[in-house]
Amino acid sequence: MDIGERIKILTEGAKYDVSCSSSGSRTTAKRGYLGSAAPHGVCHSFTADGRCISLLKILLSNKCVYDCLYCINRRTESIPRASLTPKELCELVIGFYKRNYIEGLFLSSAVEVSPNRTMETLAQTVQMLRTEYKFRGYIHLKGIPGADNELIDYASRWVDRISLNIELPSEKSLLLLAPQKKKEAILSPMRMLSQTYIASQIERPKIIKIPAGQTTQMIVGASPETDGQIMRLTQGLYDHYRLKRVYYSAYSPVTTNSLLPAVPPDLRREHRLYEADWLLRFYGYKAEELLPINRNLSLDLDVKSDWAINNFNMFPLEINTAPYELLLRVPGIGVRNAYRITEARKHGRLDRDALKKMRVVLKRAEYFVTINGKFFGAADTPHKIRNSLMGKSLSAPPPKYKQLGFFDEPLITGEF
Amino acid sequence: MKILLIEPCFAGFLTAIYHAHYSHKDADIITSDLNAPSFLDIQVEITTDTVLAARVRSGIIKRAGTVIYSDIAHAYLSCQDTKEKILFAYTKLVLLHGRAAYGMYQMNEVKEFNDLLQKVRGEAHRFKGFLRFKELKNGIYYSAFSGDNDIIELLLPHFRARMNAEKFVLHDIKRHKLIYYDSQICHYLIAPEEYSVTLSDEEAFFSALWKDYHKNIAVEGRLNTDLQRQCLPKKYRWFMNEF
Repeated sequence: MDIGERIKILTEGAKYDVSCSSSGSRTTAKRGYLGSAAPHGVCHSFTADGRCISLLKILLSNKCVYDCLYCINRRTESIPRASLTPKELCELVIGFYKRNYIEGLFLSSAVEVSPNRTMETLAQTVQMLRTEYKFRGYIHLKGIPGADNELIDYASRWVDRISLNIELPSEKSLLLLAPQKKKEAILSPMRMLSQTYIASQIERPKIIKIPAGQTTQMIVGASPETDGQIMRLTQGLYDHYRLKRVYYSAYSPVTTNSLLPAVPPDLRREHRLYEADWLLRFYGYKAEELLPINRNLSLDLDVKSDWAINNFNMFPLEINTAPYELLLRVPGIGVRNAYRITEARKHGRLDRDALKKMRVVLKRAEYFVTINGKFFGAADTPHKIRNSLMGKSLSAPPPKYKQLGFFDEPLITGEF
Repeated sequence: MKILLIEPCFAGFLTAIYHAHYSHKDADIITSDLNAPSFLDIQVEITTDTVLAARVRSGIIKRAGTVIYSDIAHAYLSCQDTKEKILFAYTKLVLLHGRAAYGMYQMNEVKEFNDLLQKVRGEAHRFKGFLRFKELKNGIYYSAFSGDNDIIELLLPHFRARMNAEKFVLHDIKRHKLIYYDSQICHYLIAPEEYSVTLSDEEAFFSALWKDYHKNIAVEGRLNTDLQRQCLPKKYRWFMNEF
């Protein structure tokens, strides 16, 4: 098969993976080498579905021995199969990179023959890219569950980011839908990698291993777990495994099976999970505060507004005096605005006009703050505010969920 | 009104700041627009003086730090015709309050300056991704582009770090500016109006693979060309080979 054809097949197999981020790493130039990486990441193009292309997202092979029910590459699916040699892949990456098509590589693979064999080939490929091809651009590598920890550790030396996918939010669901993947085979390398990461930060803070950290991905809506359970799992991954990021992908039926739901979940659910995820990582919330374990997030109201209405006794806050941590808890005020407010108020009291100039949108915030002692909200009881905010979202044009560029892909993962 | 008329360059602007600080304290406007002064205005022509400009530069750095200085320098690359007015107001604020000016988000001067700077930096950032190199027969990687703002200087360090063992050309079509990096040093050239390039043999191969990749990585069931256009406006697409 000619190389163009194979690349097409291997792209098809990789395109359902959510992550395409090239951020979090800082690699400076080195004489005679190719490439650099900046912490903010760079988008190189956008596809017709509105997603960013930052990395060359591709499988090394889609010949899989596993049979995970939700996956398009599973053994029993009749699709064309192909693979690339490490050398072919390296040359493709270099050719693309020098033409400024991409920021780096996101390499994954189906499990060909055995997890160890697959992991070895992946490690060999990234090592070749770094040493023989002197490539210093961004590399995100998939870890293969079931491969030896030593192999995964070895591969991680050459990459910016590594990820093992949790796939499903509970052991029970994993057993049912991906019987060849064992919980421990996923968690054990994740634990090992987090220790490597922490240890290298302490020992040699200037040369951090896996500088862009570890991420994971799980499918939402293929199994019965609640958002409460999912957020607690996420919290645990951030607290105990030091993950940089958790990706969620709303289940989409690519195949019929009595064990899988016939209808996909409401796409808003994925969106709300990401909102909650942001609150955990940047806003100082804990999963336990956000919702009880047996509940789902509200689909009609954003997570922060919902939380604020349920905790209405701590509002309204005065914009001119509330500390940064509390400003972050006001719906409609984000990290940047909270910072700007704390900076600007050092130079004088802020009024409504000043906030407008600072681009603080008060649409939601006005129900939860006073500005120079004045309250501007059109309602002042939790019940009325809820109606009023939901009314706003109802009267607004139907939201296009696809506009959430960061984490767009609500389909399922197509690898291993 | 008193208008300081400058030559359209950053050193000219800094020279005018010097004069506005010492000899023309009552200056209201700095501009390089020859049509700006009206019959009622007092017009003072400022000759660019690199020594004075350097003094203002170190003055700003001493007073407010290198970050704010480079903010001002980068904002000057803007194509907006009100940039001198906005920068004059902001620089005055910076010289008065030093570093603290940075956080005065409620001030009009700061808001307008931040908007201006954001447009320049935002464009430069987009071009870091959207720029396309073509490999020429002689091994040089060539890119033609044109931005709204004069961002070639902002792009150079990025690509020099990235392609430091390669030879490449950045060519701003609109401004006829061309920088050639020969894998050691940079050459600043004025580009000819007419030019042609000969592509390497491999170029078509990689270009075709990239076009296919760009098409295949999109999920067919979720077409959203509105979002695509929002993130990647059509004005950038003429130099991108996938479109």
